[in-house]
Amino acid sequence: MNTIIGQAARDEYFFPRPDITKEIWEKLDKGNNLLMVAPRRVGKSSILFNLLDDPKSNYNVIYYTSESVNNINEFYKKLFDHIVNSLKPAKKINRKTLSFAKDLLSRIDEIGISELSVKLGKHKMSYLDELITLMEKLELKEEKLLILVDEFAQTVENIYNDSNEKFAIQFLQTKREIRQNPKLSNKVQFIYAGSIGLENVVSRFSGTKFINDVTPINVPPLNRKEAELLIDKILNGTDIIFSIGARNHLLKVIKWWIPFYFHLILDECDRILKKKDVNEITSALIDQAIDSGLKQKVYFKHWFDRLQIAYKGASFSFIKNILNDVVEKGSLSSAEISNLAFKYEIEDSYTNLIHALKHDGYINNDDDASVYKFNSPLLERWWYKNVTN
Amino acid sequence: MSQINKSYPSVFNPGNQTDNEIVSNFVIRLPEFNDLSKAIKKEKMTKPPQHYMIQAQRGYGKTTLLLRLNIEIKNNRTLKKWLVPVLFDEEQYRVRSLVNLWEEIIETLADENESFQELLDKMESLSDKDFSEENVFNLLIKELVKLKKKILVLIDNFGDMIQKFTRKENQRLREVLITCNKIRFIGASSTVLEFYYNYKEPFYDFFKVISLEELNRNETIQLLNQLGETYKSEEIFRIIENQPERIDALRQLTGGVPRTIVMLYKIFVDEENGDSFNDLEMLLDKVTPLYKHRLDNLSKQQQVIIDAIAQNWDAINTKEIAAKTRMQSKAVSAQLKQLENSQLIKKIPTSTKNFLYQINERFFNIYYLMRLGKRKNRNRVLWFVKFLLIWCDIEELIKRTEKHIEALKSHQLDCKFIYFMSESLARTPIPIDLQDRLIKGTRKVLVGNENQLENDISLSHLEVLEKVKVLLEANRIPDAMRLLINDGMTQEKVYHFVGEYFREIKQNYILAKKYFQLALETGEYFAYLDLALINFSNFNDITEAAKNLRSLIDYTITKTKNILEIIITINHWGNKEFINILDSLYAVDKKTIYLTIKSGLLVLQNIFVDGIDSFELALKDKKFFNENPKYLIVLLSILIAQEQYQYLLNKFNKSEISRKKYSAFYFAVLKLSGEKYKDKYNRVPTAMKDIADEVIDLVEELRALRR
Repeated sequence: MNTIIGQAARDEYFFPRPDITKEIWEKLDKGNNLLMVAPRRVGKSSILFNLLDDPKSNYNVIYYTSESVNNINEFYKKLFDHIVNSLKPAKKINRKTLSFAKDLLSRIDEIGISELSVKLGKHKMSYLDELITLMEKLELKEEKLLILVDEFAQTVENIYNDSNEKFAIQFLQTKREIRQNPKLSNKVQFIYAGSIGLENVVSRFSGTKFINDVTPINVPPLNRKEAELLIDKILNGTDIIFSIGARNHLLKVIKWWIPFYFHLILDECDRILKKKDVNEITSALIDQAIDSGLKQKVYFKHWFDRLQIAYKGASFSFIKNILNDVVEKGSLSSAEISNLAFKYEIEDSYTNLIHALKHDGYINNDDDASVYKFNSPLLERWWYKNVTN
Repeated sequence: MSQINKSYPSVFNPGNQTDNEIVSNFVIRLPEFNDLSKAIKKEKMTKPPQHYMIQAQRGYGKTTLLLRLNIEIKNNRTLKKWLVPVLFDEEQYRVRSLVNLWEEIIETLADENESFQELLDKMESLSDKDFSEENVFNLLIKELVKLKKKILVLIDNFGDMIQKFTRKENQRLREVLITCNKIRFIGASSTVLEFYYNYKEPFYDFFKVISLEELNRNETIQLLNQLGETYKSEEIFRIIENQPERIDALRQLTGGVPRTIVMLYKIFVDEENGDSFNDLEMLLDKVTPLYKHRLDNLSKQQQVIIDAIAQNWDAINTKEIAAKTRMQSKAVSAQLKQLENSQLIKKIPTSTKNFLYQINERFFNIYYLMRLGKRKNRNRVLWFVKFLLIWCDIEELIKRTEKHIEALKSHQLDCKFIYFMSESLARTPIPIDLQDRLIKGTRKVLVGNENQLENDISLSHLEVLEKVKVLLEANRIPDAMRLLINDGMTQEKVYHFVGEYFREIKQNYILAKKYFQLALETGEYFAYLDLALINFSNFNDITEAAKNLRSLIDYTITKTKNILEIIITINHWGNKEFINILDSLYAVDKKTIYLTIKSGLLVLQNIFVDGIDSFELALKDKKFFNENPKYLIVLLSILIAQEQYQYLLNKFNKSEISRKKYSAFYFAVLKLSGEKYKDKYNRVPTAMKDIADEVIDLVEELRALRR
């Protein structure tokens, strides 16, 4: 079976999302910088890697994941390195620019990142300036440099947590300066991606105004046709029998159609098939796969415990009620949620709770903004067995 | 298929085996191994590859699976051209940060392959200032590019390792794993850590998880076959072939954990020096900090409950735990729930709405008994006794004990092993004189050992009885009873024993009655019979005796439905007056059960005319036997045991007893009737003949009992 779990799906594992990639290239062509935000496991990185592996002809694409970065200079140093290392083999960077880069790199190697601004003297954020100089010096002719920054929101949060609010704001400002630099705007574009909502992170320090020039891109779940195609792709080359009834059952069980859950559940089905030495995925086998997935994931209890620790009184009861209802009804509408908020007399604060549940990966409304569903069919089943009943 | 090894791999450190040993002993976890090696061979790692996490409890075979993969890659002609396995030692004490991880990888590569020596030199020449995570990583990658190699990093205890890393290091490691096509990780972890279940952690749902589960029956058989082959044990094959129920019992005892099965078996077959026992001791040392930590984290009440469950070894219900801990059932229930949530104990459903509880990880229970019990606590060996009872029938136990007594004389066995094995064998139902020889022989050998184990060895049953006799003579009844309880006798049996002492030796029937009464109150319902006998024979109180007998019969019918035991016991007393009592009971209540017992008793006592009269009378109560076919089965068995074939054939032929319903008995009678019915019997289907043979076996047992 052709499953991939956790790792970004590339080459033969990648399931094309032509609608999304088309929209991305169109928006880029118009000169936009983009922000792609979706929960973990939706397949953002896979889409980014597809842009890298199969770019439009006039784009030089660089992938840069900055998840571990927690200070501004480190961010720009690593970006600098990435640009040099990515363009050098393709000879996109001329000798003069390269020697400039080498010189700078050797200076940095001597003095280290944190001291950089001091040693280089005059500029406060000099590494940024050097990066800007590098980018200005790049001779890309008619081509553009597209920088994909994965886990960007995480970086902002790291800087906010490990340094302070001032640096986080400064970071966003510098990012905006690059985007709005007239010498670069026709040459360099960015796509920021992240599993934690950038808006949520920046709203903590009123930073929204520094990112309002970026155009959001949604990663919707698969539609029915796509989901069917994905199932075919995963089963391609196997002799597994998968009747229409059983397929429908799988689609019913996975309410939120993101590739990850198809891979996860079908992978578990594959394991059971081998163990039983049979080759038909039935509805019962799918249920068994979910149950056995649950058995492995003994830690689902922590999903419940976390809520119990974080919320008390009416807030906790409200959240529990919401999740129980989502499990029992399959989904819950915004109207029903607001009715519950009135019931618990928390109508002033309940939207924050819903945001938190979304943010922490419990539920989503990605399919339809007014309808909330559980993210994980496994968590949903666990919840049904252990909390609802 | 495999080479025969002198002994099976160390359960303590699977890494101590040669490659050949690993390959030949690798008989379980094959599907997981095949999946992984297929995936490794298929994917050329042109892009960052799928990373894996093997997840299972301790002893499930994670380390061995990693070792096996290592060999597979090393020896595969195509793979080794471009892929180099990097296998870490099981313990990664040195790896405390991400730079240590790259450092360890480089050192391991250089250790195993000369071509990586230059890389090691380069790393070692880095100045302290340059020795950063990024620089060391870049060195590694550059060298891999230069040598056109990729690496597969096999890391045991992955969870423990990354728990030591900072959040930034873990984020960085994820960056590497998602972008670098030179490295594939296969980790193994026995702990489910927050890094994996917390949505906000970098490695949330990042790995493809391969869960190793407890062995199923087939896998257990595969493992046992391999053990049998290694130790050239015919016996193991016989058990697999003829007594598969023992395999299930073994799985239940060990929780299906391969390491525990191997360990038990190694101790079992170790007759030369007791090295296997050192293995166990080392393993216990190794897990001590972890298990101690687990226990220290419990509340006082939880510790008391865990103690009660662990000391019992077998699953136990809430009421029993409450009694042992002197806590309220309600409080026990609340704590049990928490202990179950934290996976320390397992809840086992029963046919009633009550649950049984057991320590979840069986090896933790072994540790608890071996290390946390009092020095003289007989429960220390309980787990091994259970294994012996599953694995050996009484003849084998006797044979083993004899062999062990012989081995003691060689003075080559390790003292702790001697103590352990003798204590275990002594607690199996071997004849008491053999048990006495075993204990005395052991004590003799142990005299003068540095651990003074000779003081810890239990008294033999005979020694206990001697002491008990002295104590009873001195009227120190509580002390005598305590000694019997320590010897493993249950409370009710102890009361019964003392009752018998007063009846038989002292002829003090008043005290005898008192203790039989106590035995009754603590659950020895057969004391009714003793009371009946005393009331009848010694107090001449027929009414009371009849009452006792009625209570016993009522109890038997409602609780156990086994009347054969009553019939045999009354028959054993040989007191014919019980027949009169049964008659008087029947005269009052008209219950067919009294007739049934009477009939069985009379037939057993060869008083056929009366016996069959009662049987005929009982048979008229069709409703009774329809509702209780077991009672008719008991009578049929007794009649067959007493060779009443022709009478029974008539009953079957006249359909007074259903041939269809009791076909096994009908065919058994046909077979036993000999030549005359030979042709008829030959036409019986083979499957039915097998069942008839089972009946005949049962009847033979009954005949032996009667004798």
